[in-house]
Amino acid sequence: MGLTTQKNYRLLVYGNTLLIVMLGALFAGCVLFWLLPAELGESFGDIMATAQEIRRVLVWRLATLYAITALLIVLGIALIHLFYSHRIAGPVYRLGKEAARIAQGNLLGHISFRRKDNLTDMAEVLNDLVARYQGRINNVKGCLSVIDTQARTLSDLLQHGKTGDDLKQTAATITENVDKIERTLSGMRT
Amino acid sequence: MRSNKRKIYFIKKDFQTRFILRFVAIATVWAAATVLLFAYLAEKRLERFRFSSHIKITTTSELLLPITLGTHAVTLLIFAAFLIYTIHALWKSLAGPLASIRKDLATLTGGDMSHRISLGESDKFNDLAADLDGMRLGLREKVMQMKEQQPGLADASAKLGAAIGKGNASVADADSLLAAVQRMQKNIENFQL
Repeated sequence: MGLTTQKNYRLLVYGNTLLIVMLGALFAGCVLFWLLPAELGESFGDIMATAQEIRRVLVWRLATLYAITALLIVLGIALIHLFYSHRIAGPVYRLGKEAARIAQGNLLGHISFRRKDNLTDMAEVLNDLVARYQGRINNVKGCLSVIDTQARTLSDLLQHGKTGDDLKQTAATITENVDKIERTLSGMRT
Repeated sequence: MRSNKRKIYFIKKDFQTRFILRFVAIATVWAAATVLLFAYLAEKRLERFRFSSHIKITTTSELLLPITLGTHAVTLLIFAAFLIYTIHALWKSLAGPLASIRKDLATLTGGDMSHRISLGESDKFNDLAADLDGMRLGLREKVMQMKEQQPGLADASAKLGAAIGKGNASVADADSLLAAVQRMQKNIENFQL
């Protein structure tokens, strides 16, 4: 699974493209008959003359008409596909912006796309990544905070000339948190 | 939560132009094919009509409508088939690079910051891969700064532990540990949590 799209997205791309071309075909067909004489004539001679006239102008009118129709179709297709491609390009652009923000160390945001956007799974992957790194860094931050408190306690105890179990217990807590930091950091391979 | 409103629709010009051009190309080919087929069949019909001895047709519709309908039906069917192929091919070309990026992101999420997020030169979403690799490098640099401070912290903690064990710990040992903690806390400040 690579490209996760909203429900019916592909069907809509297909259906709307086909619809535009079918409308173009209908338009061209109707205009073609409008451009040509409706009646061929009453007598054999009139019919033949009209048929010959149609034969003479048909290719040129047909080419002109379809050139105009093709232009309208191309405009229609370009317009709807601008919107459809934006449903992928928009999230890609947004993911790039969020990546730049995360690169600066901002692990606060939560990426959410618009309801009709595609690539929602990529946003989830990036949110998961941010949450995991946020957890790791917070873990280190928490351990440092404990070490900081314990080091200050230890400093106080030493200033008051305390020795023995209190100091050993505080030192053990510090060692435990230093080990935690080491484990957390070694879990991030650089 | 950050705002997710986007007003510019032509945001990734290269990607969107390529996306649109595929459909424009097959629609243009359809129009050209329809004109050629219709002109050929109409010419043949008019030529046959010219040499008819019994003429029952009195209107242009009777003369050309069957050809018009037939031509459009055939070319539209072929167009519909090509459209299916085009969309399938487009999805295939988009899905591969995205799957690769997702795999690289999963590696990064797992904690491996040494693995590059990259795609082949001809792949789509190369700019996204570059942005995400920039993110990896940014995070890696900050984590590396923390890692550089970690041995100092471990060393100060070990010295303090040993001094307490021997019974000759001093306030200077505790201050040395505090200084190591503060250096590392400064590195943590590089992150907004």
